[in-house]
Amino acid sequence: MTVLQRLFNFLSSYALATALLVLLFVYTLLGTLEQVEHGLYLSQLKYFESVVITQIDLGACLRALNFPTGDMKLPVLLPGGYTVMALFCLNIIVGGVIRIRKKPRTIGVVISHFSMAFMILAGGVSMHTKIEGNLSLLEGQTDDQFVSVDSRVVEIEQVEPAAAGGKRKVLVISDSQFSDLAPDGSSGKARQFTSAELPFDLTLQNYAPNAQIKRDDGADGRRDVVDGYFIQALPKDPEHGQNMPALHAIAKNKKTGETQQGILWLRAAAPWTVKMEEKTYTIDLTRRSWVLPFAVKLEKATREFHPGTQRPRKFESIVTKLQDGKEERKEIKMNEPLRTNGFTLFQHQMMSGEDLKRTENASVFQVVSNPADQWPLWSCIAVAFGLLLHFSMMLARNVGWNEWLVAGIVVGVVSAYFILALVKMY
Amino acid sequence: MKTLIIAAAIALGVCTLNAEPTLAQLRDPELVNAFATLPVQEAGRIKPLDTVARYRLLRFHGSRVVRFENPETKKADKLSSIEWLLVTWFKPDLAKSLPLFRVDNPAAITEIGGTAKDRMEGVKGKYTYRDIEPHRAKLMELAEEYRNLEPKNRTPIQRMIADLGVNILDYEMIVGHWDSFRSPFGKEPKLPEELAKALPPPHRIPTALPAVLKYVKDHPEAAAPMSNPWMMEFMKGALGGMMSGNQELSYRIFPPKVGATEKWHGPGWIIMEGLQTGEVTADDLAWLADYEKVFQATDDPVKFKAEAIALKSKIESAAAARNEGSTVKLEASYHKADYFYNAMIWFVAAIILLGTSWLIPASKWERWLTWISWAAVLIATAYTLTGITIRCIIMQRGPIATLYETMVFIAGTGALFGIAAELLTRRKLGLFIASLAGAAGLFLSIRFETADAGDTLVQLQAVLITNFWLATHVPMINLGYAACMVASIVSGLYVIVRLFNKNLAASDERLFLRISYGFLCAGLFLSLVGTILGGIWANDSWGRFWGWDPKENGALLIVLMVLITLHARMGGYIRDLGIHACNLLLGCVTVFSWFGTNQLGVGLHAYGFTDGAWDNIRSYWISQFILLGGIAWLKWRGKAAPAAAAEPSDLAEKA
Repeated sequence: MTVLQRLFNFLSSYALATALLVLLFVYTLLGTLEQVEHGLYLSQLKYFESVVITQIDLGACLRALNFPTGDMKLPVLLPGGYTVMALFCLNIIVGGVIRIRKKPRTIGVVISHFSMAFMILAGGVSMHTKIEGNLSLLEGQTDDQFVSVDSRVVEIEQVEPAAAGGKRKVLVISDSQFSDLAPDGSSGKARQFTSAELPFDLTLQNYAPNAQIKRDDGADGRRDVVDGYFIQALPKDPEHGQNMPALHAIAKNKKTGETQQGILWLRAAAPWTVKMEEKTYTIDLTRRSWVLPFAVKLEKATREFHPGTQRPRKFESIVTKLQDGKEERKEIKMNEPLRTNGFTLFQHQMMSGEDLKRTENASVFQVVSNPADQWPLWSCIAVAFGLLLHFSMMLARNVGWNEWLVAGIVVGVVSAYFILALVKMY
Repeated sequence: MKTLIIAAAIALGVCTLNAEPTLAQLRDPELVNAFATLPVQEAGRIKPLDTVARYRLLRFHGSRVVRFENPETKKADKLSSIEWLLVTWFKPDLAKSLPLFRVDNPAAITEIGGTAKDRMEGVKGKYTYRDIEPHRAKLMELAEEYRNLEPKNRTPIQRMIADLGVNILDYEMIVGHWDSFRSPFGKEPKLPEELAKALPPPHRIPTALPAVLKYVKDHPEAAAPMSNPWMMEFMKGALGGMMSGNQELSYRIFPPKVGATEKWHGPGWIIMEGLQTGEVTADDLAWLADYEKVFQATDDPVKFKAEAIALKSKIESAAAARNEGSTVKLEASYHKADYFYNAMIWFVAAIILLGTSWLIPASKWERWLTWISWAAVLIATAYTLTGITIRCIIMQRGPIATLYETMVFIAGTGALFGIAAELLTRRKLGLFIASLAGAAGLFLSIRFETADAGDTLVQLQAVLITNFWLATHVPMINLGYAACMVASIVSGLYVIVRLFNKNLAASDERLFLRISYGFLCAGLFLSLVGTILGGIWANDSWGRFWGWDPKENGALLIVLMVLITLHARMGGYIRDLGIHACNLLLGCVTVFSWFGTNQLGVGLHAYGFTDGAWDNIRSYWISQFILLGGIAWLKWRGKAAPAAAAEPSDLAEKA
């Protein structure tokens, strides 16, 4: 047996399938329980989007199950959720689609396996390509920019002299490139960023995932004070979007070696300004943002409650989509998003003018761009059909009915349903 | 003499007090029915007053019936929820002596300075208002302190005291419901001179309210209750009219005119709103006058009944003009029929009958008992499905939107699954599964309802108001739970039977395996498709197909557990006993997904949190692990080996 054959056999084996399913089961359980203390964002990164897993917080999991316990962190070295999912997808394709004995009786199984692999693929595409953020508008307001809740960036922009033609040009450093520069346990860890367009190199260090900026009174003899202020780390909020990170930035003139220091903070009222070689730059730690290919104007935001309660019954926004001089009136409701130009706008939140102490109501839309948006729907239809076919035939065999008659009925009923659905839709 | 009494009453500045109706008068069926079907707007929907009474009583008492010694007959007696409400409204002295407040742990009573009841004294764990009244100040102080603690950090006793504090406050408002009509400014009113001149006794709320509003408008300082005892009494009466400190549970029975606000008005609300805005409409004053007529007629049984019926008719007509209240009578009859309790009784009867039939095999009696069991299961299932259907009609939506509804739905569908299995196998095992699943699910729902003590017919949040998804994803997921629980129950039964019957026939072994395996496969189909449908719904509502939310993960855990079982079986890593063991674990996973994920308190699906649910969940897990121990013991004793070895291909072929 050649190495390739062995590899093929291994990848298509029940043993691998069972082991991967067990790992997925364990990760799903642990990831669910750890959310209680660590929040969704971090648990998701650790268990479901990771290449390897190096530690399990057993204490947090037990406490989530209402077992009072102390700190119990278990060091491990396991393939992460991303690795397991990729392997599982391969296992399904090799074992459940390619290697499986193809006979009329297994057609339902093949369809189901193929659909599941397609769904995992949709998850992968979504994870790598999906962008999402919020677009907040007051009634009468128009905007084309949406802002991420979780993802933060450092933006560097030359503001003086302004760029020719009034077009902004912003250099962006993603949070994946500075969020590991934590001061605890890795003192002095810093990273330098350089660009031919800048007269300085930018060094980032002392990243605090959640912080406040305090004025230094000189009593502690701190060395990390910048212009009389320092970064005071705060405990991390399990809701990642609620954290206010801060970091220490140093701009070093490429020619003279002269340095300027500043503190970047998500909540800062204004960006840090650096003047170098007759030019002025702003450097800002901010939420990542994207520009839509169209603008959205909020015409009316309606929020209704069940009478006499604070239980919302209806959220509805009437918007105008503005693109290339054309205007289109659209409605966005709960469960009825607006899908256009590859973006989907969901009704996310709504604030009354009374709450905001303004005359206008406000609406927050979640904006998502995901190429795999509808793939799970097709996959669901296929997997349901495959499983229904297979299990109906299995049931027929067991109770002594004609399995092909049953298969025919299932195919007929499902087809009729879809034809009716299509007729109703169009 | 009568003239003297009236003169004295006028001199005291109080309105004439009506003679209290007798208990027998309050229990007149027509009167009770008139009040029971009175439309009320509460928690955003129109419901019968009977529903309000039922859940208030359930919250205070832990039961919908109050047992007491009837002072008129000196015999043991009981009051239904609506009768209890009428007694509390119209016979406050008797009401305060009813053993009403349920306090399970005597330590809670001791902590507020009261004397815990001896086990043999009165109704166990039930205290009258008079028992608690002397310790009210301490109770309120402690309740306030414990309410400010994180719910998760409260001890059971602290929870009990916090709940008792809220219950006492609400109860006092119910007892004082008619105070605005009885004596709007208290028993010995000391009104400011100007107001007293404008309002000669007897004081009646429909006429007093405009005068008070005018007076407060001219003298804004009079609106401060702490410095104006008469205003304090006036506001206390208004609060009694609202019947609850919770705005959403405020008592609203007057439908506004067609086209006006959706919010109904209530006697307390009209007074409080008047004090806030300085205005009261003529319509509202007319409603107050109509309401007052009922109270004024309490000393004349015939008139009392007539006024109550007249008020109800007027409210019904006003509601009908707004196209509201059409399901009030249906809801009252739904509660009266008590479908789920009756269904549970029939399911339990079926279990007993089937058990008896197994004790006398191959006899004429066995055949009869089997047929009667069939009838009992069918009656119970019909009861369950009727109850579910009526709930759908009342709420105009799919059958499941709350944790409670998942329980009754799973009980009903579990029974249907059992019936389907019985029709295919004809070995009585399916019938037994139907009875067990139905009885267990309904028992659970009744316990949950008692513990939660809130109306189970609730208005939905905006995101849930979509009939398509409520009719597809939600039932699918719950059918998946039902199928997985049935698979687990069958495996549990198998272990018990094997432990007590060393010589189980191979055909019986096959029967258990086939049924459990069949439901395992059905569980996979339903859970997988239901989970993906949920993802598609989430993609339309929240902008993501999958968000690793605990409830979503719970559904995924079920799917993964079934897939592990199927692939391990196909790969030959487990045999028949292994499938049963995996099914028991599947039951644990399903219970975690069904209830446990709600208890975590995080995520978008974190509805239906229940204090103390972890204890029940853990008890279930322990029971399943004991059964798993049984499987290990069977394996160790080699009892399973011959059967497994003899029929290794039974499922391999099927899969």
